[in-house]
Parts: sequence; structure tokens; C-alpha cells
Amino acid sequence: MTVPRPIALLCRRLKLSLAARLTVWFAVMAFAMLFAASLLMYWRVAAHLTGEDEFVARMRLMLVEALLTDAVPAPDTVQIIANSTDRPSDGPMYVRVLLPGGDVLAQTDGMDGELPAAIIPVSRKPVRVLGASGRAYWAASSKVMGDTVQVAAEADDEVRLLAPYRGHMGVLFGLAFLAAGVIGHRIARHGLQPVVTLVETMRGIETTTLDKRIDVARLPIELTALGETFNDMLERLQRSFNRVAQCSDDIAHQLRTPLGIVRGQIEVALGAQRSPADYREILESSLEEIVTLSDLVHRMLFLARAENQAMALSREETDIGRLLSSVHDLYEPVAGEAGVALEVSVADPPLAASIDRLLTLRAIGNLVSNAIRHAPPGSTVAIQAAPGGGGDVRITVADTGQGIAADHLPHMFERFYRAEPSDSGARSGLGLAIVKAIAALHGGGVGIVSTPGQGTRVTITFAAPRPAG
Amino acid sequence: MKILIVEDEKKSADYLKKGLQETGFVVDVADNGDDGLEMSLRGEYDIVLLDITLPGCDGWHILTEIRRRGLDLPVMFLTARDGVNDRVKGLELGADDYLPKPFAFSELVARLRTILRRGPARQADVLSIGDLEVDSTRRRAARGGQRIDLTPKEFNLLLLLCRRNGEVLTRTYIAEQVWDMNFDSETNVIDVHIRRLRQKVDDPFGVPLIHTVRGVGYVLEARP
Repeated sequence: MTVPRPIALLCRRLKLSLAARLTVWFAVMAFAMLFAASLLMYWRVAAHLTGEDEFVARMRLMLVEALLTDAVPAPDTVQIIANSTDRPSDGPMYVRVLLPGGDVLAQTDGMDGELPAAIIPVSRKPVRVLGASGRAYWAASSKVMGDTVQVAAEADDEVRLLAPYRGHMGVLFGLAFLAAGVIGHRIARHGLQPVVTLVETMRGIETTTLDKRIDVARLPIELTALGETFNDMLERLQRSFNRVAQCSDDIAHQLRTPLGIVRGQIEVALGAQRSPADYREILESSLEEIVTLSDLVHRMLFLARAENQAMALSREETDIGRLLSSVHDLYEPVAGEAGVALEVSVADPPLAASIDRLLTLRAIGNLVSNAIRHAPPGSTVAIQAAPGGGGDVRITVADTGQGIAADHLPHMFERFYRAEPSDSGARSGLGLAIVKAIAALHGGGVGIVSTPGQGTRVTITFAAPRPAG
Repeated sequence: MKILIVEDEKKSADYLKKGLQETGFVVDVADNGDDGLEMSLRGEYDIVLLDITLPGCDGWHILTEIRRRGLDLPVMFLTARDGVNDRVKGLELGADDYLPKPFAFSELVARLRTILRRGPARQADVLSIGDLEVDSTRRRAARGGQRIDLTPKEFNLLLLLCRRNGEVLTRTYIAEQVWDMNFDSETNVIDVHIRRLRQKVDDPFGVPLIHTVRGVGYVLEARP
């Protein structure tokens, strides 16, 4: 149904509530239909009443003609007609008989003043005329043996019946309009109740009650999708909220240990006189802890910025083979000390990609040092690079260590996640999260495959820069 | 060398002043932006260390004014504001370096030296520290006349330590200079490289030249 523009515009202009709009629409529609139906009925009744008055006038005329034809004297005829009102409420019935010269032979009392002979038309078919008093009459005339007979019957049914009817209708319309408004409002309110409930539920959700959900089953079909979408949004919110809470918890935890050491050892140091060598030892130890702290802060900031994509990449065309061989140069001594062989293999032909060199090195470095740490002596850590299609580059770091249990795998790239609790030590637990963030900055991703007892393969994909958009 | 530190946080200013004086610089401190600006325009400093958030006019404004007047005065930002945009903005306005807090003091000194050395000063081709001689053009090292066999990376590492003779270099700085890498300091890779270098440069000769500074990094110097 198309909405008439003026009403729609008015609703918008007045900023009416949905309930108010529905109410207005309901009231207007109900009123319009009632009005149309009543009007039709009024027309029918009015036409019927009018026909009745006209019929009375015609019948009287025929009666007068019959009487005069039967040689009833004119004054008697007038008298008979005047007394022959069959409806007590009927208005006066006027009859006049005129001689061929125009003189009055006989007429009903008072007819001269109300309806002079001249205004009554020469027509057997009744015609509506207005009397001197302003009343309406059905008047007709005919010739009977040379005389002119004039008859007029008041058209009073219209006045008597229709006028009060119109009055009643006015009151009725007013009441109907009010009733339509009230009922419409009720209906609208009732229909919109689910929306109100929905809003109340939503309003009741705070950070402490993120586990609340909207009861979708009780919503009408139109609102089900909205409810489900909202529930999904809550689900995501709750998850990330929990993650943030968990994360600040982890950070506080990470900060606590070095802070505790520094605070404690300085307090103890100041508690007694010591030799310069002792002071030096304490200062050095404190410095080590503080370096741990500030590295952690830098790493957290790096992650926060990378995850908000608030970090600009400085991509440059890089030869992947040379990149990996510099990784090899840097990490080979560490691998050597651990008794692990470090192998680099790059697909032929030489592979190049547009990447941020420093960040990529950092990501690969993190993976390689992880792999070396988990590789048993005598095994090999392999770094491989291969084209990933569409200008992407895939770099895989594989070790033959003890592997990672399947239930840990999905979480390996989360901050502070540790597969083995014993792996804590000085490690921050941010290495793989940083790898993932760097891959994501490049529009790529990370993957991990592990077979317990056989080793782990981690793959980073660096996506080629895509045209804007 | 004369350094101006513009820093409103007293503890920071104090330790910077003390440390830099002991490193051999002449140091003045301004504890608000307005004094800092007025002093930097005097033309008597070799470098300015600027904080960004300051009472009075801020660090951005001071740098802008210095550059607007066409002064060839190196400026280095030391700040806790570590957004990428801050860094980019600083460098775009003409800062020579940008060091986010917290930083290692030795890192600051190393960077200061890098900036101040950018001029015409040229280092000798052959450096000698104690009985160690390093020839940077022929890429040869010897101790007590005895040739030391080094890989290219090992030589670069030794050269860096010799050029910065007596300066403590952080692991981050070493990785940046030798491997052109900004690596995660969680790993002990640099320690292993230093250990290897020591095996060749120090161990056979009895008197160590490469020293570990706990919590900071490494320094090469002849100690009595």
C-alpha cells in the first residue's frame, strides 16, 4: 500500500513515535471508511424520503381532480383535502382552485400568503418550490374542466427526518474518531510491545551482564533476525571483552614478577650497609629485570598498534632468498650451540615480494628461535619459501621437535598462551602473537600444523599489496 | 659537545644530565617549553633532546621554530608518545631521531654519537685498541701481530665494537647495525655471536677486550 505523502510527511515532521503513527493511520482509515459508508446510506435514505413527499403531492392532485370531476364543489373539495391528512405529523396540505380568468374559486386557509398562485408551476409532475416562510413544498397543478387546480405538500420529511439524522451522524463521527484513536493506540502499543521488551532487554545489558541474551523464540518473525543479530553481536563483544580482561590480567601478572624482584632486592639492599661490589650486583640485577619489563611494554605496544592496524608498512621489493640467508646468518650460531642444523631452501626461480623487510625478519626470526628451542639436538630446522599464488609468498618454518597437542593448536597465536606451563621462564608468550600480527599487517595469515612426536610446521603468508579498495 | 635537554620531568632530566656529563658532554636543562625554545635559538648547542609534552609550548612547536629559522641544529625526540603518527610527524618536521621511552641510556648515547658524527669527521682506516688492530679498508684484524680469521659478519661486529670503543652497545643496536635487523630481544642470538667472536678475539690471547655490561649490552675496551 502506498502511503499518501502528506500524512507520511507530517508524521516525519512531527517526529511521531511508531505507536503514534500507527494510531494516526488507524484512526484516519477507520474514520474514512465509516464516513464513506454513512454518506452512502444518507444518500439512499434522502432519496427515498424525497420520493415519498413527491408521491403525496401527486396523489393529492389526483384526488382533487377526481373530486372535481365528480362535481364536488371546489370549496368542499378544498375542505376534504385539508382534512384528509393521513399522517398526523404531516405539514399543511394546500389546495387552490382557480377560475379560467385567474380568480380564486377556493383555497386552503393561509395559502395565499405562503404560496401565491403565481409561483406554482404549470406541471402535473411535482416541483420543489419555496414558500414565503422559507419552507419547501412539492407543488403541482392541472386543468380540470377549465379550472386550474394547484396542490402543494410540504417537503417536510427531509427537514423532519434528515436534519436530526445529520446531527446524530456528526456526534457519531466524533465518537467513532475518538474510539478509532483509542483502539488504534491500543493495537499499536500491543503490536509494538515486543520492540519495547527488546529495547528494555538491550538497555539492561552492561559489561557485567554480557552473558544476557534476547529470547529469540518469543519474538515475532519480523524481529527474529534483529534479535539474532544482536545476540551474535553480544557474543562477539563478550568474547573480546573476556579476552581483554584475560589479557590485562596476564599483563599485570607478567609485570608483577620483575617488579617484585626489583622492589624486593632494592629494599633489602638499602636495609644494611654493603660493599660497593654488593651494590653494583644489586643494581645490575635490577637493571636486568627492568629491561625485561620495558621490553614487555614495547612488545605490548607493538601488538596493540599492529592489531589496530595503526602501523604503516614500509613495503619494498625484497629478494626472499637473501632475506632468508640473513636470517640463517643471524640464527645459525644459536642453532649450532643447540646442536640443531638450520636449513634454508627457496623455490627456484628466485622469489621476490613487496614486504616490510624489518617486520618480516622479525616474524621469521621469532619462528626460527621458537623452532630451535623446541628442536632436539641432532635434528634440523628447515626454513622454506614458496610462491603462494597471486604474488603471495609463503614461508614455512618446520622443526622435528616433540610437537604440540591438537587442543593447544588453535590458541598458539594468542597472547600469553603457552602450551607447556614449564615454558614460562623469561619468555613473554608474545612471540607468536607478534608473528600473527605482522602477517595480518601484510594482509596475510598464519597456520600451524603439528604432529606430536614428529614436529611442528608454522606457515606465514605475506600477501602481495592489493590495489586500494 | 654541548647538549640541551628540554624535559619537564625532574627525575628524567637529572639522570640524563648526570649520565651525559659523565659520558663527556656539557649539558644544560630547560624544564619548560618556553625556556627550551629560547635556549635552543641561542645557537650554542650541538644537539637538542626534546620531550613532546611540555609546560609552555610543546616539543613540536620548538622543533618547528628551530627549522623555520633555518638553524642547522640536530634535534632528537625522547618521548613516551610512541604512536606511529607521532614518530612520522617528528621525522617529517625535521627531527633527526625519535627514541621512545623507556629506552636504554646506552642506546641514547649511541644514537647521539651517530647523529653528531654525521658531519665531516672521518675515522681512521686502522683502529687499534690495546694490542688489537682492525683495518677497515682491507677488512683484516690482528692481535699482537697475529692475524685473526673472521667471517664477514664477525668482522662487521668487531668493527662496530672498535669504532664505538669504550661505548656500551645494546643488543638491539648491534643487531640493527650489523644485521640490519630490528629483532626481538627475547632471543639470545647476539650473545651467541659475541661468544663466537670472543672465542677468536679474546680467548687465545688471555686479556679480554670484549666485556659484558649486565642488563645493557657489550663494550670493547682495553681495561687495565
